[in-house]
Amino acid sequence: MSDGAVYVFGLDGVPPELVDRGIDAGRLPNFERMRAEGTDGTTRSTVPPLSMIAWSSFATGRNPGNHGIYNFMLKEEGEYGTDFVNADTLREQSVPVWEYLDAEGHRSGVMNVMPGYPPSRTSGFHISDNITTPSSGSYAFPDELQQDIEQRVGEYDVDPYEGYDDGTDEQNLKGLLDNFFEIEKNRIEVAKLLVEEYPCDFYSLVFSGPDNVLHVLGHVLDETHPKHDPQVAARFDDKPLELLELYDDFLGWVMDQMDDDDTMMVLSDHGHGPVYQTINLNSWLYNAGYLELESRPWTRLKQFGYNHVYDAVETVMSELNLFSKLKMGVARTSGGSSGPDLAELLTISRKDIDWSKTAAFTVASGGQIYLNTDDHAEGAIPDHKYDEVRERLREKLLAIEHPERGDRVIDSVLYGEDVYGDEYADTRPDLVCMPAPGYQIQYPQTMKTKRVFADPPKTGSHTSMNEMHGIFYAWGGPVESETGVTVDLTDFSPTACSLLDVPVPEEMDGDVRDDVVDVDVERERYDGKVETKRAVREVVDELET
Amino acid sequence: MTTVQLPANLRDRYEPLADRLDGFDSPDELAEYVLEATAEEIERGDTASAADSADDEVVEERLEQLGYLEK
Repeated sequence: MSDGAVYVFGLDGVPPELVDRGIDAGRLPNFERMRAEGTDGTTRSTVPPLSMIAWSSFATGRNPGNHGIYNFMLKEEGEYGTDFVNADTLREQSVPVWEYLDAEGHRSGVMNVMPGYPPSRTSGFHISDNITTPSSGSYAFPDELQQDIEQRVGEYDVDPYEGYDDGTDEQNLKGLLDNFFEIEKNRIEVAKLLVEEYPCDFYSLVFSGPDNVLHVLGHVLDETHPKHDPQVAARFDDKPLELLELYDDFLGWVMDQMDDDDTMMVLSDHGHGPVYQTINLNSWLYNAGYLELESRPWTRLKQFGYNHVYDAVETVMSELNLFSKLKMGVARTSGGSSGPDLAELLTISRKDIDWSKTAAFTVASGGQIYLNTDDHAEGAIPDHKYDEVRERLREKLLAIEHPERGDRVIDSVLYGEDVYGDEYADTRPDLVCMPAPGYQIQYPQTMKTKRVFADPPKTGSHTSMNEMHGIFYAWGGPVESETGVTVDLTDFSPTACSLLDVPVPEEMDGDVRDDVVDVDVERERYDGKVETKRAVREVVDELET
Repeated sequence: MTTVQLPANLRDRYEPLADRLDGFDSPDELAEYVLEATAEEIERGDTASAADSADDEVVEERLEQLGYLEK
């Protein structure tokens, strides 16, 4: 039993083998100490292993069906459109652990856990995340924290991806990496400030640096990657370990601050591996006869132009090093209130799909497929045909082979109910495709119907089936001495509750890992207290304004 | 110590609320929780800026930079 503080540090995207390599080389002494004195193992990610879904499961202790965050963008029930996820989406559909802790009188400190904007206003502090935070405006609660960070540490960059270009050019890659390292050094200083001067019972601080760095180094780290260049590799292949050394120093600093009954857990939400080719699922579905485009002349004309003329423009512009700028220019005019929507005008987008003749479609990257069942506005599949259509589609997906490489592209195709639970049939995907190693399932919002396969949009790597596991380390008074454990992302929140002697909410799917920490387990249902706290906060807000 | 007694009309409203909300065994417990939480909120004195509206274009651009979305 412990009611000391709980420190959880997330290192987004770190693969276990990278830490192993650093420990073996004697470069990560504090990871080594955690392994020797505490528990180590791996963290099992969500399906698919995308950070938005993964951190939502971490924060709520629930599987994606139960917290409702299936991807970076969500399909509306019975509709074809999507909305981007933010922290309000998560709060509407679920409850992050810091709200339960708040309801039981505990202070939490949160930094950069997706989806983090708008920041939570529970007792303690909350800094929003890199993806959902607007470029301007307040990223921290309370306001005073933001001022404190900026006065004492400097600018907190909420948009580290600004200027994040392809990275193939050696100089460009150096610039990108230098920028990411600067941001992470700054974040570590912010984290020290938070731990030292903003006392909380529960800290959940996430660093995105590893994911950012690994995304652009897939071709550098993998000697068999088609874009691997030994000279570039010699210059940059140590960067991931250099970054881990920064976090290792920080973890050592935290260990020095900790009391005997405190607990520290370190995890990554998924691993990383190289990507050689991408598959555009909607293009594949079109070519396989599952997705149909409107027959109107403009769509047909665009289809010709986008498939043929656009490529010629792309080749010429790329040679002049202007294509990415043009593409961003087109993207920026998309969906804005002023001026024409160039992306829609020139390319094949979702608005060109003939839904009445479409059986299956995807709305985001990651391999999740929805069937156009008759509960959709223009649904084409009646109930009695569902199993037959889905099974046939599943078989075809499993049989996809790359036309030049000749290997299987999809490793497995899972049923939505098996991954997300039976009870979420109205919102969950019907099938989830997991890519074979080296492939990424991509979702271009615009699609060339003749191009099913392509090079990765970045030269770096992305998550895949083989990267379902991240790191797990635990250290501190209540931590057992174990090795080789597998912890699910949903286990962190219930385990943190037990460590703080707070009842584990019945709504959490994860387990209290009493094999990792010495705790007693008590479960209760108290969502009503969270609801009451939210209502009180709104009333007090109104009183104060 | 003075015990605050809920007026009858308020008790009538808090009773079904305490039944509906998980975590409370009685209307008195709910009322006490509300009063305590209200005092805490006011005492904290933390200020929070109004959240800016979601900026889909920025999110889209970041996801594109990370390779999760493609135009």
